[in-house]
Amino acid sequence: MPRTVCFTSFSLGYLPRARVLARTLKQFQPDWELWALVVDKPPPALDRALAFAPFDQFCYSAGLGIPRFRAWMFKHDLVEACTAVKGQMLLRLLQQGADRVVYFDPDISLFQPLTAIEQRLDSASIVLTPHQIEANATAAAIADNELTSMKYGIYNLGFLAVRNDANGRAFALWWAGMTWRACYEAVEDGLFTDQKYCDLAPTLFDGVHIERDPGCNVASWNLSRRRLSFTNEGALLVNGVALKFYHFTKINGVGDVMTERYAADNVEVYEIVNWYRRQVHANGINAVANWPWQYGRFANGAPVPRAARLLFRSRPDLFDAFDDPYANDFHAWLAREMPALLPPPPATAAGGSPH
Amino acid sequence: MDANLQLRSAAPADAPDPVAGSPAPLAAAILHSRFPLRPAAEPAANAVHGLDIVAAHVDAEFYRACYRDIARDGLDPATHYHRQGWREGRNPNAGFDTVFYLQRNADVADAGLDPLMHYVRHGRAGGRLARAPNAASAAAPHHDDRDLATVAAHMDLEYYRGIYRDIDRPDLDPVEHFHRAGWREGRNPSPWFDTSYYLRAYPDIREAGIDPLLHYALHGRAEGRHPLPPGGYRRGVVDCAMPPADRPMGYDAPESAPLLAAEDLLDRLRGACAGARGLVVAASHDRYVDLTGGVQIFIADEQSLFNGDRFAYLHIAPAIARLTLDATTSQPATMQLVIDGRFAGLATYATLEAALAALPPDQPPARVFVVHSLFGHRTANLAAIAQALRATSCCFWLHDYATVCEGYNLLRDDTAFCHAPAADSVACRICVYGATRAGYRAALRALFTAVPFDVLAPSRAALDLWLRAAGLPYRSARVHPNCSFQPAPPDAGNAAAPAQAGNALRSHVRVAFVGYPLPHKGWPLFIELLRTAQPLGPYRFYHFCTAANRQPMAGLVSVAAQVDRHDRFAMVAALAAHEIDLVLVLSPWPETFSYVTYEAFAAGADVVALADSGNVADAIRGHDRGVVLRDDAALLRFFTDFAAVHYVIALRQGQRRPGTIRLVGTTATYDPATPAAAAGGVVDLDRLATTDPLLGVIAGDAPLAGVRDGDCYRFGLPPGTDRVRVVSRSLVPAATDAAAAERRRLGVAVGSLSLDGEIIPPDDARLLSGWHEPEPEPAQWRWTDGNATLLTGGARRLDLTLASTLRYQCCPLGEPSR
Repeated sequence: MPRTVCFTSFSLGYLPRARVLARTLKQFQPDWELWALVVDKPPPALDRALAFAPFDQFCYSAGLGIPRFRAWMFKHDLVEACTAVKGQMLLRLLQQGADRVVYFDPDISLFQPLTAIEQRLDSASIVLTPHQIEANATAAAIADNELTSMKYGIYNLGFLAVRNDANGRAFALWWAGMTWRACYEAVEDGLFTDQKYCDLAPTLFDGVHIERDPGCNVASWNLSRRRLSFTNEGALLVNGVALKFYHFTKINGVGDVMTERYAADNVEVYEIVNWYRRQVHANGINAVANWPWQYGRFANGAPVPRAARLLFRSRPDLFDAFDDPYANDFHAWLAREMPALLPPPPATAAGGSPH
Repeated sequence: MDANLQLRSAAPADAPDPVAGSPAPLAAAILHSRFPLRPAAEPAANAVHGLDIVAAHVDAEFYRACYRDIARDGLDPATHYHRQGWREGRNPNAGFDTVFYLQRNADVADAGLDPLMHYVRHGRAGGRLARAPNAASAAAPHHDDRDLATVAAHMDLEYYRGIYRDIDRPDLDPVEHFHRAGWREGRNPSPWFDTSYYLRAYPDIREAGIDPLLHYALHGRAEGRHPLPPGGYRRGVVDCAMPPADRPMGYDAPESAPLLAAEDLLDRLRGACAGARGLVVAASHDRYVDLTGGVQIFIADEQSLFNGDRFAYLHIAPAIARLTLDATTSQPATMQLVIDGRFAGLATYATLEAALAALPPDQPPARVFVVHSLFGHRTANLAAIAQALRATSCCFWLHDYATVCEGYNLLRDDTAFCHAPAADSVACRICVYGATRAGYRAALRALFTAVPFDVLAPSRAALDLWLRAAGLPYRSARVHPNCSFQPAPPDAGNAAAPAQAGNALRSHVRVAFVGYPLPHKGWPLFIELLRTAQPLGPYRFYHFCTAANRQPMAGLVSVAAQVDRHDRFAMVAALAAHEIDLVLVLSPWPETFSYVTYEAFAAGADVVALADSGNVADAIRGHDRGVVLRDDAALLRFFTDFAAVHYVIALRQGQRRPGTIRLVGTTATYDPATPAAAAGGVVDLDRLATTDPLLGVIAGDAPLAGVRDGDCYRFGLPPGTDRVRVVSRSLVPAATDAAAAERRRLGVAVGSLSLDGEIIPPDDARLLSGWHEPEPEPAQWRWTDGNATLLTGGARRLDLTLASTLRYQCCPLGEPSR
């Protein structure tokens, strides 16, 4: 039987969600090996064995062997960073000999075994789920769905499945290279993190399967054309087929508004969203409850402003000069050369140091 | 009326239209109905001349906006109104109330004339009113300010004043209050606008600091903004659903209730059991004597019947109320005890166990253990009580589905009937009741294994579902209905109004919701119907409930009515007095019985229910008294397409036939020796009737031996006896028979009484308690209440002669087991 490795990538603020994902993975795919890729540094008080218990393995992004790691990280905000490391991790897992690698965003939950996806990988090398599989008809829905897909990527990279063959490895190498080069949210430039690059995947590689099962990757961005329902036997269906996995994107944030907008009277959506909220709450870990993202602060505790990141992106000379832009020497340089970019330093070093 | 119109037509652009948009035709969505939905024949077309007169007064725009079916089918409003619309109670314009006019002017109704035509030709000149004088916004003061007028048009003043009692003052204009302050305080102007939601969902409005209702009326609605959280009423229910363990618990017992010690409790039990034929120990989740509800009145009926057959009845309920089992073990659990209908105090399970075990094994001989509800109890302790009682019969009632799931209505996340799927299904996993289901079922299994229950279900629907889904062991299981219904014979003198002239509505279709205004009773759907159908004209909506639970709302008539031990048939009387046509029982889950359904039948009303309503749908079909509709949309269409009007017209033409309810149920009428199938469920009360009063005399706690000769009894009294109790079977006639006026509990009528040969006159002070007032001259004897105390002052002989007895009801469980 092929050995499947599954991983997810997250900062510690999303640890509760990642644990929910891992529990649902263990429930439905107990034969998969689960990895947590932590794009963060943990607080000293964290009981790692307990926190990462639902996973089989965990590793830190700093240990992936990404060249010029700290300088490279400095160029990315939180979402960009968590997505930028995925390609590298995929490569590594393939190199370590996994027959198949599956990626899930931490805010996804499984509701069924993914037998069908595994079967796709019998004949395809790469499986992608589009944001939407049905056209919308109203101006509002088109703006929120079609036009958004065209800006942010046709496929949702909250899910990816790759087989360890020539195609799959070529794709992984290419994707990792693209995301090392520029994994940014820059929609006007045609970039959106790791996701928009995959619009090119079907054109550059053979063996790409575009999964149009409505039960896969259901989220607020396709609810306008998908309806959840329960059967009398208690099965949860989407447009009449079993729900495989739901992407609870930005729940307790702007995702709630989008969910409401398109779920309308499909009350079953609110049932599973409320279930998810309870699960996240039940999987909370106190030690990380208010732990700030460690790649978001200078050594002195000051938050890294976006403008400083953009500067670092646009200045190869600075990238070459500063190995660790989080350290005090770069902060001092900014304070001297570009003080307008820096906010006033905090009164006390709150939330612990980034080291 | 206008306000509701505007709000209704303001559906956001992409939202499905709940009325016109439903794909299935109404006919397909009606699962049972005995009447056709349209008049059988087209009424003869009136002269074109009449139509000309009427056409000028039918406001076509109003008619099409009000009646979607007319707009949808492209019909000409004036022609429709003149030919058919007035018969259905539709209004031709905002100023003419068709049903009002027909009701007020019987001559017009009798002649079968188009009332608008009559009004235009004759009525107006003759000073007849076109609509009720205080109909239009009488309570709402007129506002010159345009903003206030707009806000007023969208407020439900009855609701606002009713919900916010602090501002319900005559000097206060609710519209001003809301506009200036109320919205800032998060108050809602009507059931259809959620102020806090609007400000939360639309931060731009919140930041602008303007009246959100005004914004919605002027701009928000057109922009597609939502006045309520999207998702309909079910959304609110889902968002409030929480696992039972997270729900707050309440201390339920009366203040300063005494905690009984073992000896104290044993004394009371001995006293209650003295001379008794049996002892019933019954468990439920609350103190039934002080609460209104189906299970509570059932237990009260049961206790009354058992007491009537000389059983003592001990009821136990947890002191801490919770809607799940008590899984704690750290401290002893305390229960509230009610003995023979009177609160006796608190006791722990251990105390009760000890007291029961200390009773002599054969006094009383029959021992019955009954569970009506497990909530709040500890299952292990209940099993121990059944054992300490030495119960000869253990009965478990399926009043709900708590033995299938903690979600005892089988509503997944409190919203939709789940059909009780397997515990490992996705539905169970995501439901608020799912996480603890395994442990809960294990506790139930342990109880049902320890106690051999005779499972009693009030209906076939309940039993079938339980047998399929519960997976619990049992000794026997049968259907034992709570009551039966007999329609009145067709030529009885209780026929209602004479047959209607023609196919026309002469008075409003009176539609009622009965009971607590809760989501699992279908209340949100009812008020959605009220909002949608009230503006149409022919309907009048009622809510019958306890005084404390009335929900003020424009267009809703609230009637306080309460069924309890003192007035068993109050609801039937109230429904009949208001001449209700249709009672809506909108529970979205399979009701195990539904007294309301039978009360409606008895009052002469038909019942409208949804599919999956269990015994309600079964009763409607079985008695052919109502309509079963597929879903919410079908219910709304039944009214908005006027099928309900035609249904009621046909109903009235057939002459209303009320009937009688017979209370044939409870454990008191349960006979394990009768095969369940043979009984067919309904108990034949005549077989349980007896005229033997089972008269006895008790001194202290000991029954005395007596000699009986026909109606004469003689008892030897032990020396030093200063008082005795005269006990017998008893009955509250009005508790079982709606036609009976006698509300007193009657035991035996003692014609003559003597102590040591000395005759005791009927008004003697030695007749201490339990004696009703003497009957009127010349009889003068006194009825006992079944347990009457007589001061004997040391006398050694008591003679009494009975003047009258009753037909009492036996409890089969009191018979020696065969």
